[in-house]
Amino acid sequence: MQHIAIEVTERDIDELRSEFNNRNIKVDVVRSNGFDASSIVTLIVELSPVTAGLVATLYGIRKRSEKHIKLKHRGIEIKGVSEAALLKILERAEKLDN
Amino acid sequence: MSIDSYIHATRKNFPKRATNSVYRDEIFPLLDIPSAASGLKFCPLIPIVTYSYSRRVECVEFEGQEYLIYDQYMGQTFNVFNRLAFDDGNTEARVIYFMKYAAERLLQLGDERNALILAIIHSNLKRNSTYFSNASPTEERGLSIFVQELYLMAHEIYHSLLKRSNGLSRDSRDHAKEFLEGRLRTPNEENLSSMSSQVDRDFHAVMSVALGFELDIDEELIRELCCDRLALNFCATTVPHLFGQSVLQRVLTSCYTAHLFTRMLTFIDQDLAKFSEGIVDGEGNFDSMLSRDYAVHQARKAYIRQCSFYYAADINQGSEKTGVAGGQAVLSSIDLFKALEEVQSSIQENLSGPLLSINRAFVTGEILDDFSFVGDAVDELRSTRESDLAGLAERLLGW
Repeated sequence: MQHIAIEVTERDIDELRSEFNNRNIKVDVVRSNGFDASSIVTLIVELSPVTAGLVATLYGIRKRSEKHIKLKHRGIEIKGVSEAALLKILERAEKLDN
Repeated sequence: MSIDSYIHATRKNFPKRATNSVYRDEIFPLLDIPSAASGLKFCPLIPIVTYSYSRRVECVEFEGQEYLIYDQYMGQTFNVFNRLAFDDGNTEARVIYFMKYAAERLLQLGDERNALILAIIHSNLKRNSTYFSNASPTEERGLSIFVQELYLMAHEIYHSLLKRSNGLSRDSRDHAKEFLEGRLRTPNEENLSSMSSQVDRDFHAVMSVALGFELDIDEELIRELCCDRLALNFCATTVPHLFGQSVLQRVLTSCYTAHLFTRMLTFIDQDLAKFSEGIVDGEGNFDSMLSRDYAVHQARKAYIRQCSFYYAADINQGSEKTGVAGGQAVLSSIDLFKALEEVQSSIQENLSGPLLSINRAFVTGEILDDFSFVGDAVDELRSTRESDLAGLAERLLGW
């Protein structure tokens, strides 16, 4: 099972969480504090053909309104986010794991 | 979903490389901090050891439980920094390691091509170098890294405790403010070396560039400082209890250098992110670095250096009593800080143009013959155009 990390700010967390919950997609919230004094809120979502489109859409909306959002898979920030790109990542990761 | 899903999504973990037993048997039992600090009988955090090039040490809250995630590769990195700091003047080793660090950081930022190029340069340089001499004794480094890892973890645990309690006490807050404000108001105390006066001048020069900027003594900074101090106190009482009072000076030195290293990495990461954005966006210039934000960033860097000279002075004063020259280690670390900054700005100045060209050549398929400066990199780049760049970079970096 592949998971994707969605880093956002604390004030945006409820809005994003409800976007997933409204579609019956399970999402977990993790709050972390690191040594660089950074506070990060991360949503963890299973990456699947069902979630890839929604994740890409939410990413696009937030980017356009210049809100903070980062997607990570296995710690690597994903550049050029799109549904197709996320599905490619999923396919590649599953191949590597099998 | 479990905490493992979070770990797996946020870092590329190599769990087999982590030596869990050392932490489980030797370090975690020492970190039963709350029993002394807050009257609790056990540490409320569940510790987890990872091994990844994200190097992230963090406290996370997940489903009502708090975890301390410690990345052992951070400790390994500190070990290298200790060696580099002691190994005075070994510029080549600094460059080689910085290439590795930068490549790993760029991989995390999703900048695979530049990560690969730096990985190739690192690999080429390392192949033709002895890399490290043995400037510092193994035993001394062993104690340093033990203390530094303890310090990192204690710092995070104190953050967790402060969050659970009602925040900072009035005394802690006053102490932190006094420290911060006092250092800024009286930069020329007698116990500072002439080198620190130079840093002081640098600091004020940078501050004047950031017109109107005042160092933000906010709640976050005060909390950081308090956790630094609490972690220092924790190590300074716990470690001598294990190894005898004679190690106190080395414990203090190790804590201060750990503090310096973490700040150094934060600044380097921020600079590398800017560097990568410049390349990725195809602009190839660093105008953004002239902005007010960048000036503030530089001022903070200078401030950290400034504080470090006070640490060195503190430790030197202690050294007079104990005869252990700990201050020199802090000064060596400051030299390392400056040296790595120089290495980094050299990369930005000398490689940003060529890297941008290589990126363009990559995209357009142009011939790469003009880029002989990266040596074998050209052939590697040609042969890997369509393959897994990140995977190749990782292999070259030893992952």
